[in-house]
Amino acid sequence: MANPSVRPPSSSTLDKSEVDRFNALAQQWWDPHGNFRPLHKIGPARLGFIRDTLVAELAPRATTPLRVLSGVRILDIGCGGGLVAEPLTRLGAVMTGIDPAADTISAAQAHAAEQGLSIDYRATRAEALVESGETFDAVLCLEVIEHVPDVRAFLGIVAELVRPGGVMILSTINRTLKSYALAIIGAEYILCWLPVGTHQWDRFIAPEELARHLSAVGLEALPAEGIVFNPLEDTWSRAADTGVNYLMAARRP
Amino acid sequence: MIHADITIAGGSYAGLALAASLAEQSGGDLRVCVVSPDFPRLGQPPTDLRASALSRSSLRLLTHLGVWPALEPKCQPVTSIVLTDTDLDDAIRAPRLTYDLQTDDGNSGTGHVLPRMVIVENHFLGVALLEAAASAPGITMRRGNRIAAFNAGPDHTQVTLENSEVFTTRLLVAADGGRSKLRDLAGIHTIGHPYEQTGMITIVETQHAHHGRAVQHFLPAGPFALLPMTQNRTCVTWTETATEARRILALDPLAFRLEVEKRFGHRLGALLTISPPRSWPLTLALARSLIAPRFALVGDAAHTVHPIAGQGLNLGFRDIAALAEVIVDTARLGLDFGQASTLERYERWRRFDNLASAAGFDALNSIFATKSTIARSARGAVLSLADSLPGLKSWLIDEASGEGGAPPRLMR
Repeated sequence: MANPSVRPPSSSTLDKSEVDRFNALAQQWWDPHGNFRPLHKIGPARLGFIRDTLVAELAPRATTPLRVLSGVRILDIGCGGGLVAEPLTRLGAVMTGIDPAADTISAAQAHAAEQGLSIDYRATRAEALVESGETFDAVLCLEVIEHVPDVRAFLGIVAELVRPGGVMILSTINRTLKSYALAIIGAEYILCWLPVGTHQWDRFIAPEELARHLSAVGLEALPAEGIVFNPLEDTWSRAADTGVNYLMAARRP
Repeated sequence: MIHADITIAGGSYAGLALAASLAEQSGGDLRVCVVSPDFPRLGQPPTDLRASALSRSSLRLLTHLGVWPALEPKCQPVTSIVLTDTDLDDAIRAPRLTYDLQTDDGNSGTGHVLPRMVIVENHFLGVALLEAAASAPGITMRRGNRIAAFNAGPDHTQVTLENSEVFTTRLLVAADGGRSKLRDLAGIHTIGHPYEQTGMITIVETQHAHHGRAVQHFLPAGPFALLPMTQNRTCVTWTETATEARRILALDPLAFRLEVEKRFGHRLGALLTISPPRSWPLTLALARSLIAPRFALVGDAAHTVHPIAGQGLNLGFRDIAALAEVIVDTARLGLDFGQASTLERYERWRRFDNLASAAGFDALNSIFATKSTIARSARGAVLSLADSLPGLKSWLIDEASGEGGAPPRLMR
């Protein structure tokens, strides 16, 4: 299950308090009402976009009706506790998840093991993978680029991890007045969904800017799709409105 | 380890239809376990003599499940429903309201025209659903067992059977009927009241053809329904107070025949055969909630409604089609369908329909269960008005055929 190259060291060298700590951290990630509630809430819309895009772009052969991504090799950059890696594994994908935080990776491993899912989690950065020359059918950068200082340089690195003919999928927040009101004032200050200071509005990026960055690093951007919040049902759904949260896919020719 | 994705308690109409629906919608990818002390028996005399009305939306579900072609020859299409409002002693029972079910838009989600409503013997429906569930991929049947206890955790529910066997499941569904034991174990209370009425049933064969006409007489003791069956039989269903029911059940065959004839009238000529009567207590029970952690209610476990409109099974099938859809939609995203957000979608979808239907049938029953002259003229006026307004009438027909509201995929 766990990849031998994974850091920190295997559980035999971890004392019990460490294991407990990772399990507690995993529980935090997977508690739908806890700190990561917003990620759980946007999960279905995000996963629907990822699944449909990969099915359309890569046309994988489904081995069973639900395993529509059978054999698709996917890298999730900034995988956190595995909220995206686990469901995509159930759909048949062969997942690699990377995150710089070793604790988070250990927590993700603990949870996947409990679910009986085989996921290659590594505490590493995209740059290190590029050096190894590894490539993937699809690379996911979900809620990552709004935290990155130099988006174009970062996308240049990530693009090298996509095999020719493969796909990159990004999700992020648009830079509009509405996103300032909703994502910062609303989500951080009023609703307290996110810790204050999670986002800096000037780092948000508009879909057309993102498309320009992608084409500058040699990728073909596809049209963006929005995710909108329905306050009456407390759910997020896919929509044409890209004013706040949106997803974009890009092909590597 | 998770041993079953979905565990269903109850192997009757609702449990079997849910298992078959999950298999159909997931292509057999979901592992479904049905636990029941008993299942309908193939080739054995029926234990349930009752007949039920199936609306077109239920027939669409049965079509998706592959059940309808084999069941169709055993179903009697209903061509019209006549409502009357009279006393038992009134010589003439004038129709107050006639629904003609033959004026049809021919609209059907499956490309072939389905009747608006049919009457089917419950036994045949049970056997057909059992065959569908038994031949569908991914379904395990556990006969001769019951769920004794269960305990919901963050990732799964641990289920203990009466034989002390323990296994885990992502979602437990109670389809164990009106007196659901699992509903009580989940701590879900019901609202409602016993009607203090007893349901009575007998099947008669008539001299003249019924031509598919269903009749509902609203008698002061409760509704009296004639449901047309195949082979020119009619299922006679009516309600009585508990005391009166005991008296009727104790009658000898000749005296019982007189009671039936008094209610049936002579419109279809002589009654050639009359089966011995059966009875069951009537209740209105509506679960306060349809869900609990990793737990959902469907069918009679969620709502036992008055049989006045023959809608009990249809409501249950609507629960099943909706629950199967939210489960499979979540599974298609690789997500955990036992989680609260999935179950809340099911509850939002079904609660209003169930509540409105139960309240509606209950109100209808209260209005009719009275001898008061004022109430009788009021309901007469309402029925005449309903009969004369085509818009209202077609809305009533649509609701009765389960066409109202947003239909689940399996009912389109």
